[in-house]
Amino acid sequence: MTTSATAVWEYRGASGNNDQGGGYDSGISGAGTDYSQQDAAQLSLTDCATSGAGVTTLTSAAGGFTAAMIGNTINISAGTNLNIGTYWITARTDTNTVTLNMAPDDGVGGVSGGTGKVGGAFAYIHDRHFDFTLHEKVEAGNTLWIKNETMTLVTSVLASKDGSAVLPIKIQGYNTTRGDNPTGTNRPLIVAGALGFEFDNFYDIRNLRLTTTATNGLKLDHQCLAVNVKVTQSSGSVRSGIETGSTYNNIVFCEASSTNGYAISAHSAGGKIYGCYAHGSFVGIDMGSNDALAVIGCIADTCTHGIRVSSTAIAAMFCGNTLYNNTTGLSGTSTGHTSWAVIDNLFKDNTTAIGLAELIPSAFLDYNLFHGNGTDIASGYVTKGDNTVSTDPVFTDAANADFSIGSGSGAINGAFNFEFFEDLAGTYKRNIGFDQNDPDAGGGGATRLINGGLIS
Amino acid sequence: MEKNINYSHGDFLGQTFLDVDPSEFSNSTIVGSCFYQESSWDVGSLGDSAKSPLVAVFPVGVVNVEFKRCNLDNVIIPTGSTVDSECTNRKVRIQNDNEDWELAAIDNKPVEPLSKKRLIRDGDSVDPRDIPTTRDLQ
Repeated sequence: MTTSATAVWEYRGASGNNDQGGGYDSGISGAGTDYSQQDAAQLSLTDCATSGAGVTTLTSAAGGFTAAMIGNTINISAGTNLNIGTYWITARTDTNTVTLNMAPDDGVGGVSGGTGKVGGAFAYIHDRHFDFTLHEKVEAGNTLWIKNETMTLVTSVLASKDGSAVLPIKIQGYNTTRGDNPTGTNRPLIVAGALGFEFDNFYDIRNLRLTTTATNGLKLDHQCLAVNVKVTQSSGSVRSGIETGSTYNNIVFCEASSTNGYAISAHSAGGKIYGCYAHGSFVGIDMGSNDALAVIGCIADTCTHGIRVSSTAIAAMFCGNTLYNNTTGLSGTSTGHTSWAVIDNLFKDNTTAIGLAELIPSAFLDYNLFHGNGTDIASGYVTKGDNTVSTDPVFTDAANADFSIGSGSGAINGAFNFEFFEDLAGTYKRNIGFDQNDPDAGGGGATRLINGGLIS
Repeated sequence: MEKNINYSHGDFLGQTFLDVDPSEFSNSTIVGSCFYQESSWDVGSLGDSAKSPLVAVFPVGVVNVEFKRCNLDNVIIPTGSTVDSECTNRKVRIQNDNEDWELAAIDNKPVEPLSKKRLIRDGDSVDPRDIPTTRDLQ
């Protein structure tokens, strides 16, 4: 057997070690204790052996195998005739003998003098963990749990192993307990340097922070989902924080910045960006595909282009976004656009709120708020609707990324009635811009964090 | 040697410590930190003018540091220090194709892109002779 869909893997950047077991599969018959959820290995051996090539029975004279170790991996990292890697313990005969899911030898002969560790977390994600040519690979349906510690990458990770529609591969950060969905600095930090991540198809990535200068800090190829991920791209060159490479990716409640490039770069058809915060970048959100784009409920703050459409966009939707202090709030730098819907967006203090390369013959632009912009719509290439609002939105503290609006805000109840929208306070007002209604704010109220605290 | 708590498991990307007392580093083990120094695209540092991207991060006088599992790309390793097999300590520079390339130790010419696997998958060349002669930004 290879790794099954029910396997999980544990990563602890500071306290783990990549020569430890790292994995546990509750789906293995007789599975015992999950020893991957601890800093150190449960058992360390230096005399692992098999009796010949192709033999799956592993022995150790020192011993120490227990029934509770069934379902864990043993990482055999050195030895004679060894195919280095992690192997699943599928059965235990006695303290000196276990059965592995596959023979650990290299085909030359039996393993001898093998260094093996059962249990203990990995320290960092390695490219080979996703390499389909190796037996230790992650498989569709697996979850990689990453504890809130600092993980330094030493290889670029191109996760070429695919999940599937029903069995996505999950990369999940946690603070102290798996599934606790941390926010802010309680999310694990991955420090990548010039190295980055690219995940192929069907990945679900959540609750992480990443610093990088790589060409693509976090790249999602096809039908991937990123939630509550913060990427800080600090390259001196034009690079992306989060990038979609192929089609149908969703980026939700994420935060990104790219000093000289694109905070979020959606260069694929069917890309959806929801509830994200892009700031301090050349381009906050770059839509570089031409089909079914949607940017909903996002904030673009202090960018050269807040939201930029850099290729011909058909059927694009920009709804409920707040565009603040950008050189151009909503920017269309290419031509041939048609069928745009620009609804419920809040344009505040931009040099130009909407700047397009040419007239869009088919566009619905209404229920937006324009205030404090140098120019609202350059060259008149689109026309404001009858329900445009022009009063001050009264942000609580925009300079510190608190875009909640107070009781006197012109944005309150100015939005199109989508019926199903509600604000964070549950008062069902239809507000323009990213919905952070805070009746107590407007100068003296309690701070309300972006996305209900998911982003910091 | 004792683990250096202050400088282990840290994100020191782009930072230098030239004004720090060498004793903060000397005779210690630093684990799992990133000291990477990006060497940005610079037309004067490419081709026949290729220059070393290495940067002095640690102050003069630092000795005997044991680095484990660290990203030390473009970092000058202090005298008498060791780097374990899980560290990365390469010369890296952005070339005209906007990719990071590992450089040859001697002449600082590009040898292999850091994203070699991705480029091969995408059908792009990983031969340094195919790097454009002028900058090619997307």
